[in-house]
Amino acid sequence: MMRLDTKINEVGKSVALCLKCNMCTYGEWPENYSLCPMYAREKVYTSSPGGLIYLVRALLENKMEYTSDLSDLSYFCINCRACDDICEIIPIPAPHVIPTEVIRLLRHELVKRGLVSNECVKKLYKTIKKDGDFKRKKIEIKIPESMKNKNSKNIFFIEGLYPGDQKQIYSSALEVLQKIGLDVYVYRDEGSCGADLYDLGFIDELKILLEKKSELINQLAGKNLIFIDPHTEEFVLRNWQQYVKTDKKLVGKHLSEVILEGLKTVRIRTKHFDKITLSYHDPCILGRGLGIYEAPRNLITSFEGVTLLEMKRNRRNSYCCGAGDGTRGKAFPEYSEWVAHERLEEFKETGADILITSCPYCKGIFQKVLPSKQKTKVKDLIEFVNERIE
Amino acid sequence: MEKKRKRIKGSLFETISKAIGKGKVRNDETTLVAYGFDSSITPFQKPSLVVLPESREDVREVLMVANEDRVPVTVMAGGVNIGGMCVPSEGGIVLDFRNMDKILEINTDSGYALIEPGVNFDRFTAALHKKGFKCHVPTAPGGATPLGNYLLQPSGSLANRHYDSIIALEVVLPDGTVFHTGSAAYPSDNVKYYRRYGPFPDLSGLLCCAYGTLGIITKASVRIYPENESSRVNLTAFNDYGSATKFVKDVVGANIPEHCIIWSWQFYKTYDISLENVEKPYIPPELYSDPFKPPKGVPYNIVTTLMSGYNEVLDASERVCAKVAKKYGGRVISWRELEEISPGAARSWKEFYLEHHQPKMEHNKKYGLGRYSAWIGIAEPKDVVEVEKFALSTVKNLGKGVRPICYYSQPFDFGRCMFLRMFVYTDPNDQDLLNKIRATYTEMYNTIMQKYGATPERYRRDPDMIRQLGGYYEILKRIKKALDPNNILNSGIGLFVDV
Repeated sequence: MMRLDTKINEVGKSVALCLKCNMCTYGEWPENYSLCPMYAREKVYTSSPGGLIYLVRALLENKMEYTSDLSDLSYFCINCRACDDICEIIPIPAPHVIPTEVIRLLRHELVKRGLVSNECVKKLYKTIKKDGDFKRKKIEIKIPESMKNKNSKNIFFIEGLYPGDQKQIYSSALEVLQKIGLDVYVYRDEGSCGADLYDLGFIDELKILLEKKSELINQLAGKNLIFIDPHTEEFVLRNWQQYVKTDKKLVGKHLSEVILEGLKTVRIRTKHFDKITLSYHDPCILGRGLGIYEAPRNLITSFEGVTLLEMKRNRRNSYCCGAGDGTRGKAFPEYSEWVAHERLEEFKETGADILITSCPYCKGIFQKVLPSKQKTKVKDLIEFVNERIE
Repeated sequence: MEKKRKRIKGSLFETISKAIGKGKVRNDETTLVAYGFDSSITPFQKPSLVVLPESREDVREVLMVANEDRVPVTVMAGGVNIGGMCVPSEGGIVLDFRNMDKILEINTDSGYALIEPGVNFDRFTAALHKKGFKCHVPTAPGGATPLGNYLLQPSGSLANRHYDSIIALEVVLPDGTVFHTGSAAYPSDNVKYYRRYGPFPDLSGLLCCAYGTLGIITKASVRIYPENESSRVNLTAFNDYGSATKFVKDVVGANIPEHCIIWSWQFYKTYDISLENVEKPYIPPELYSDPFKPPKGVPYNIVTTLMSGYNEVLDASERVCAKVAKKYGGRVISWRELEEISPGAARSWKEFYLEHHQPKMEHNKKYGLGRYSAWIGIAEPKDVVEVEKFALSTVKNLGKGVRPICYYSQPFDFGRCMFLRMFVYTDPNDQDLLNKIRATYTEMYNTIMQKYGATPERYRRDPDMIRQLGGYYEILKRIKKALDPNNILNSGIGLFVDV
């Protein structure tokens, strides 16, 4: 991950090497699946990672000015990271950036110039400028007494940004952690961990936010952090470390990995259910960002009577849900829902009963676009596990 | 400079939008900028419009409007061009074929595929592989298009036995005329695109190496070949290029390979670039050393000899390769040995030759070393050894900012001539150096022609390249005037600047 103080003019050499090969938009041979939602929708070079990289080059070479049109285009990239996983040209020269980092630098420059035209992004920016954080109403979750021991080595990290309708995921997580008997302390961050600020290019504001969190960050260093939201996990583990003042490391795991380990070591009784077929949607950041593809699958298939039916685009070749980090659904609702529909069509092709995912935003957007009678067809992995263990 | 127009920008947009549908026409600033340059040193020029046709009729409509208004049209099959051939140097319209990307037919009986211009190699090779077929695969990225590549007479996996990949074409002219070449020209739906030559002059050939200046191709049949019972690659190491070329001539003359490529050691070592640690990529340090002096244990050249057919024949062919290698002081190396010398090359060549497709990114990582500048000469076999020495030492003398210096070389058309493509990587932002390289390359072309009777392989946006051809150029100009009287087709590349 690039340094937070990386400047856009440091990537001049990287962007000048783009070949316009368009390979950043599709997956591995021989399937060559279309992976970039922006390109799949617009079908023009400009709306592709390469296109945005070329526009950054144009800006650096004074071929164009920063404009609000550019801003809309840059936020149209949903941050699914497919291009990062594919392009092996851009990262080679220093400062070794990957395509979405170039796009993030572009957003930062646009934000600095006040050229954010999308109303939703603009509103978020005003909030962060005013409050220094995105604080929302707390989700009411009853935290068991046993999870209030601050000295616990394991910290279950709940960020304060999740929409209230995802309360069920967090409640389920607490129950599962109790069932597997893991000693944890529940840490509830009241605001943003910074991942969304980073993605939106609010880099200057992000630095202030992280400075404020410095004490917290240092307290968490050396503990075993447990995450549900892959966006938070990736950002905390990769970016908070530079604020740790000791030699302690920020280490953590995704809850699916923790539960899988727990089920191996603790004898857990499972409930009886009829046979069921499931399909698993790889959240972009859990997969491409953190490299976690198998733990959720192994967890799903550890239950009797469960058959996993893969969608044709899976693992590294997975396709985004459309939500991004949650902001795209609000900033570009029609586009975001179009992407979600594309993915749900693929799920339907599997014929599976239930779609499991492992990120609150994925569940949110899928449920949003499904007809009301079908919303229960989508579950978070943790909800599914909680239903099945006693 | 853009030709005189009767319409202003807005109305051109409206006219074309009305003719083919608004969603296929773009005039937003960001799109125009993104289509205004590539990684070459060609000066930036925004087009007025970017049009994304979806059918031959769309192409006709656009061309007729452009022709009437004398608006330049720059055509782009996939847009992967690093030589400025898709930069709209005179503004006007960029016709981007990425959305005409259907594989219309794979005819395994006659051995051709009918494709639209926007089909890329990755999709094409995957579709062929499913049917047990393969095509000529260049060293270009998998996002490049077969049509764009084949029209340039490419270098790649099959060029010594199967030189011409284009068979028959569907072509649209600026006045809206549509014509077909090869067997497709016959007025019966039963006559397909299976044949190129005769009984009349070869119009497919006229469109090859025309760089989109003589007509816009909307459909093409290209040659495909069976993968056969087995494919094998014989690997032979040589300590000098001369011995490698003798080996190649010998085995090609004996009808052994489908194709041979001589790889320079600095080329195949580029496959060993590793991005395992993305924050600190591994680049083999020897890529920046003297290209004439490989490290101990690294052969100066490795020749890959691709063979396919029945196993019994291949067993015998491998024995012949070993015998011929010994005759010229080389030696056969195993895949295991190659994995030790260059694990990246071993991985890539297996994909390239045995799966018949571009190795996904193994192949592209080298472009991350810097701005890629290629020089391509074609020489008779007797002269090519001197050309290699001359070219390598000339480029080496450009200094340490021009590294690594790689090349690959291969016999074209059953070894009638030898292709030598040399390329270097430089700081992409160092315009002075890039200009110096371009000037040096021009001098090198002149030198190899005068001294070794060798010729350039590709047009380089330099009108003097074609002007020197005298009568040939005069005839071409007459043809150009007949087909594109207003000179709107790819006029910015300067091929017909005198028309």
